[in-house]
Amino acid sequence: MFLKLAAQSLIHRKGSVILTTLALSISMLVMFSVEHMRAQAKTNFASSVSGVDLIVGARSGELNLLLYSVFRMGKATNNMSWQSYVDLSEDSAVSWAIPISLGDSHQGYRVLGTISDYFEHFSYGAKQSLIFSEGRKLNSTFDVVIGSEVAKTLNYQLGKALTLSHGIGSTSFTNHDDTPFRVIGILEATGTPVDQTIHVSLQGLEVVHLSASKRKQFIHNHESKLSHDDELDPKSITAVMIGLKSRVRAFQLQRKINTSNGEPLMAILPGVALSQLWKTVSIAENTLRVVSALVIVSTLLGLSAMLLVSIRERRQEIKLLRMIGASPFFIYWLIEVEALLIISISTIFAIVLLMFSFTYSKEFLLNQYGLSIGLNVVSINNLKAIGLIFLLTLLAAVPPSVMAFKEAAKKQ
Amino acid sequence: MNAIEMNKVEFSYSKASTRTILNIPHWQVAQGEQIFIHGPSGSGKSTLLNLICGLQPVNCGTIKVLGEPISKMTSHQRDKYRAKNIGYIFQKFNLIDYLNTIDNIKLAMHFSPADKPSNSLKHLQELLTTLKLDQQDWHRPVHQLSVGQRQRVGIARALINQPQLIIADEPSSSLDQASRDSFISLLNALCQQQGATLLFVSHDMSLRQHFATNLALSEINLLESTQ
Repeated sequence: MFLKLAAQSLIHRKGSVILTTLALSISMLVMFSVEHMRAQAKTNFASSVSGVDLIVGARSGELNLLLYSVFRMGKATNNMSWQSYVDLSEDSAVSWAIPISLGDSHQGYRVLGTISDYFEHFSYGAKQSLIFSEGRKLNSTFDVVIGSEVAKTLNYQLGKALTLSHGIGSTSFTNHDDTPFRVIGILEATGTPVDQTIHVSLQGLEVVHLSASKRKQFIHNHESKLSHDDELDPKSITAVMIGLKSRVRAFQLQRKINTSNGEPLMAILPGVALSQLWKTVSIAENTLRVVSALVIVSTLLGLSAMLLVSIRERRQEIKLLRMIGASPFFIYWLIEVEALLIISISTIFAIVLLMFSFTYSKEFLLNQYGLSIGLNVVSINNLKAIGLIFLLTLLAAVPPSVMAFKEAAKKQ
Repeated sequence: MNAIEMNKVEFSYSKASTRTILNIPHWQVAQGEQIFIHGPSGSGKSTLLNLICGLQPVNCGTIKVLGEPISKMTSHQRDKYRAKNIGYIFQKFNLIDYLNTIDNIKLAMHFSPADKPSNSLKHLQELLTTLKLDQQDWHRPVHQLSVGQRQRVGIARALINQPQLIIADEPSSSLDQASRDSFISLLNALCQQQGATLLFVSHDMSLRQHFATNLALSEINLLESTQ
């Protein structure tokens, strides 16, 4: 009877109730999406590389090495020698080692020189391997494999010929115009920096960097097989991704590399470095949370005002309820329950809306922003937030409830 | 046992105020009596009813309703006692607008102890039929009913818990002459049938013909002549 009374009373005042419910739904939607996107961005971020146990580069800062090797951001302060790579790949603890070479770009997208094994060993997310949506992996000197975003934005198909520029940025003074690179593979979207990367062979990259006359000569003389021409063996590379036979040995090898007396190299554990990096961006994260919390608070104040106004119109109703035996506490809780009903409906509505919008924007977000999102919006964090919101609603309904209580307990 | 018994009751709205609203040395109403109380507006009729219902505690003196000293109860006890034993009919706003007829009456049942035999749907249906309320109106929101229909639903709501005391505060003022007469005789008949005491309050002297006992409030409310 109690619930029915509260519900019927809300239906009776449906105009203001629906508007308040909508306002609450929208502000909860904002909060849920911020929280969900934040969590998903964090997961995406943390999943930009997996299955790689160590990343080795020239000795600099940990974040610097992580940024340029995984996120293709910034520049390596120094390269490491090819010989160090060979030594590392022969270490007894190492299962596989993949050299990567950065520093060139094409139409603003970074070019990554590597070896064919890269596509077998590199993984992201929950150990997901790279998948080709079209074509195959690197096979010969001038083969190019492009990420999904590169393919989409530049509208490149298989067989597209392209030139690579030396340096970073879409306009560069030395364009290597006469190098016959061809797209032979396009990767599926991953939601990681791989989508924005152009992969070429290390040998191909070496050709780019030959002097103009030598380059012409090479292109004339060689059929484009991945040949082990001594001339094309890279002298230096940017970093090495390493998979270990046993992860237990990661720290041991890291220590060995970091303290070696030979070439100054450093090794990082990608997972550890990623979480350190995330901490530095958490200010933006917290700002978003604070803003969405404030939106909720202001909407709850609106709810409080709406109920407060309604009490004035309900004096007769309160008097009648008192006369048929309702105590002032009954009246108090009637108002509180009305507020709770409103917030419950708003919550359900917000969640449905959120699931609906994410279901329909999932593809869009992945393709446009490289953000892959899960559909499970009811996370632990969001459940905690809902609990808190219900508590805040109880508080927000205190002024109108107290007013109703006073009205009920008033001497006639 | 008397339905109402008042002794040395004095009442004023604030302690600082010297204006006494009610001063009733002694007054009693026998059980089963149907009594008409009249007095001009502002003479303290509503205040008297609020005291009897226990909505308002007295300043001093004792009030016994159906033998129980309501003036000595806590406010929570008074709320329960009122729900169980007193049926009240207002001038208007007898019903909650957004509930239908049945739910309005069920709401009154909700506040009365559930083990009463009267708390049955059958009793409710009988009562509505006696009050000549069409079955098709039972589930309509009460704001769609006519004024006369609403006042009759008001009677049903007041009588559903079979209270021993019915208080009617100007219940017929919003009705026209014809429906007023039938309303009062219906109320009288139902109270007689239940053996309930009826306290009918109005400023309209013409209504006294319907009642055996007539009383002017000034006969029992002995305010000092200086005021």
